[in-house]
Amino acid sequence: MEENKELDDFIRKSIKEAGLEKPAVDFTDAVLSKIRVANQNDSLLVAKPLLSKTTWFLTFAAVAAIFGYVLFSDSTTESTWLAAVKLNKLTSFNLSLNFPELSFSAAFIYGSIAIALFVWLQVFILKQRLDKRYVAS
Amino acid sequence: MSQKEDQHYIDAIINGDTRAFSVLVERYKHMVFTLAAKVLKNHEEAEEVAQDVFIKAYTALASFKGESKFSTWLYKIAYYRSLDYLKKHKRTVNTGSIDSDTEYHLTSMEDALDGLEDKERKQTIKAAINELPHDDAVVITLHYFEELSLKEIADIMNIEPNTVKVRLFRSRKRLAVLLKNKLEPEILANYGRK
Repeated sequence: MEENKELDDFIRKSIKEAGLEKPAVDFTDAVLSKIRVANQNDSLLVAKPLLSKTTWFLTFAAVAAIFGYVLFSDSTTESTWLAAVKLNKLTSFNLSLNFPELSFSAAFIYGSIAIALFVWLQVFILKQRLDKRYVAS
Repeated sequence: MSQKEDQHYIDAIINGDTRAFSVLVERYKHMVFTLAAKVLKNHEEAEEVAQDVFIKAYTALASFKGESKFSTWLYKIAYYRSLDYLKKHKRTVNTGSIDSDTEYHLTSMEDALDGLEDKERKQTIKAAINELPHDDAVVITLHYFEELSLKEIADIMNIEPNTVKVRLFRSRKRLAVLLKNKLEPEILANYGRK
């Protein structure tokens, strides 16, 4: 027990003697300026959407209106203004009619599917690799 | 430093006086930096982590309820931020094995230390502490320098007070052995003189 007390005193004396480590002289300034920057960034970083809600609404309404017009308007009636801007084909547009002879061999189709699959896989693998790299750096 | 005084500045900061924070930084920067340095064993990294600790403390200040001392709360952040840093950078600090059964003779160690110049003495002790595993160094610093109770240290390191006691006992011996190794040439020289 006696030895422990001695050791205790000795270590206490040594630790007090060694003192604390000293950080850089400008430590306090560095901390405060970082806090200031963080405070500023907070007010700067209030995210503003690229497209406001009104713009989204108007865009959506316009797209819906065009689709609505094409789908539900009577295609037999020729619209005079569509004809005027040479867009009257819009009302009688059919993809398959334009390529009646188009056909692919089975090998070509399987090949395309395989390539698409690998490209799709690569997206995930690349993403994972890049994520790791950014975390590490 | 009294808790009441700390609380005065804490209230001022919460009320928007950022400059009041500089008083607290000045007051605790040495201890926070030392704790980080004990864990990381590297001054540049300790500086970075210590700054980070104060910024974290600043942003979390509103959540400080005054249940413990402000200093204890701050040291806890410092300890965990430093451990996080080690983990994030996947660094393990090699401290080597210390044989705590080694015999040492306190009086001859004290003589040897007294024989050193002030600066050299400080460096020797610091170098010995630096070779301790980081938890040992933290326990020793908090107990002997900051004179915190076992309970407060237990709170900072999130362990049982009894574990702190055991760790303190073990780290004390280890530090004595490390110091003895560092002082070996001086001790031998002293014997020669006698």
